[in-house]
Amino acid sequence: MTVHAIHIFDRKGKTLFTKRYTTTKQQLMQDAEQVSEQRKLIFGMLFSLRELVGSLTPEGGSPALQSVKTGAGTLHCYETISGLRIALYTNNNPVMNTLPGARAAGGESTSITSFQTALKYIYSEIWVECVVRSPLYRPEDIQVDPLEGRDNNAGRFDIKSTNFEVKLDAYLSSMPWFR
Amino acid sequence: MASSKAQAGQTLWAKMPKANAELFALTYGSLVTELVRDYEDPIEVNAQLERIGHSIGVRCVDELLSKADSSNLGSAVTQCGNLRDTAEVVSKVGFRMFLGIQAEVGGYSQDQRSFSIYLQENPLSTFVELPTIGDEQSSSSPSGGLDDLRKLKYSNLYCGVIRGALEMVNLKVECTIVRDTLKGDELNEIRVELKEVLSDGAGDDYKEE
Amino acid sequence: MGFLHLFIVNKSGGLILHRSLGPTAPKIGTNEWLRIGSTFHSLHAIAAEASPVKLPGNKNSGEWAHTNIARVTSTTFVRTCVLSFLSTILFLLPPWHFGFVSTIAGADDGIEQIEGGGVILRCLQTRTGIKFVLTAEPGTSGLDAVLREIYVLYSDCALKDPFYELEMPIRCELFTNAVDNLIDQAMSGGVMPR
Repeated sequence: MTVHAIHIFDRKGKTLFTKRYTTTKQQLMQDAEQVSEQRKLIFGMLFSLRELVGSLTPEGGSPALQSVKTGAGTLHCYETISGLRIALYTNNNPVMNTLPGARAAGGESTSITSFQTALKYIYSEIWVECVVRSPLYRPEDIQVDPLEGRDNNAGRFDIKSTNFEVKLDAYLSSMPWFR
Repeated sequence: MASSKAQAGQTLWAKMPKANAELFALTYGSLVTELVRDYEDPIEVNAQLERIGHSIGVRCVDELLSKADSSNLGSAVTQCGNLRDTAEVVSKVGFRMFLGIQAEVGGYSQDQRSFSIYLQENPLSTFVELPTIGDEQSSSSPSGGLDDLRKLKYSNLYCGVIRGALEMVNLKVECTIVRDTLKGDELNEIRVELKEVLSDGAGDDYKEE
Repeated sequence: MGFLHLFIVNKSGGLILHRSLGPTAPKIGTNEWLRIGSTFHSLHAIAAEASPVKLPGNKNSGEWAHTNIARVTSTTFVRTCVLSFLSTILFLLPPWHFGFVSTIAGADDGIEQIEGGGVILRCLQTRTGIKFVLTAEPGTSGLDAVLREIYVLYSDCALKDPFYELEMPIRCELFTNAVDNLIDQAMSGGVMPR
């Protein structure tokens, strides 16, 4: 069970944070432009999937997108009301959390909800704590890629200036399903 | 690996609904004779049989895949890594499942792009004898039409079926009957040659003019 | 605990069947169904492309292939009418490398399952490029078995109808009745594999 990557997007599709945890030969061959194109692809996919799920959900269900499973891996998503989307790519074999009372039949849903819980935690405890509460935070002007906005770096808020990545890594490594 | 495909074929054959072999052979026979009467030219009849086979093949492939999948026969049947695997699935699983006959495969070419399927028995031609040359009593067409019936490929349906089935999984092949027991050979041989591997994409409707 | 909808998408992304399977299923108009069908078809392929890891058999795992896809898609995303553009992207997928890969549609890299707050969607892609998609309420089990049985029913009822043209909308009562029976059976006892 591995976590491959995590991406955080804002409401407009801009990538706020992205990190790869496993690198394969394919990825080493990708240059930065391809990587940023891939991220836009992911955002667009999340956007369209949310609409799709919304139209297929019956009355009374919440139209949120929780996870998308493909042959190669699973994408877990969490979207906040402010439009922030957190996407976590893992592979397809989640380790069953040893929560008391987790029955085998309900095992799959508990591991999905545990991903949702984890993503919620990442949002509330880590993102809000480290990034939003940082005195330098400017929601419209987040510096993401070193490539973007070379001409006007000065007023931009850099996520690297916060503890976010460190705390995120620490949190994810503490999860039983992260390796 | 080969034996598991043979077993898969056997299992699937057991689950298929069966039909009377005589009825099957006679129905096909009357179809062929009717075509011969309509078109008169055996080459044209061969082409029609191939087309009929094609539209059967495009449907059979889904049946084979869905029933193999549903019987949990594993990916040995539904996933083929190369042309050899495909050839084995067509002959050992496909022919067995739909016709109940044992088919052998071999004759792989050097570049692994063509192979042959050998059929010892052919349920379509159970009662068939092609008229021999010089049989003038039943000759009705003045242009010596009976000689031409030697050019008729009675089992050309198989060629169409294989072509149609493989086309649905993106393999464009050409099939021909090389040896035919009706013409005196000791077994039936169908030669299958891979022309190209097709790609997914827009159909003809979407191509720009 | 119930099934909601079944829809079937053909090789080129057109919808050939949509059917409501239970009383709780939301009412969706025909036009919207067509839109859902083609959106799903495109997203199925894009999910394979967007994943950071790909299965070895994926036809797009070549470097040059990736560049082509990305260049086309980057300019068209983040538009509200992104949905109609998605299908055009597929037409520019590069030709399949020669050499056999394990399946035609990219080694099963596409979407298998989507879980949302109120719905589970499961997809079965066949080797012939047809996608069978089933939606159900969360907590419904046996979706996989039901999907495979539906594939068998499709090959038995729809394909064997001599007047049915491949890739066209399915209008076979035999098939729809069989699907309804299958769903009733699934709801009451569970579907046994043949």
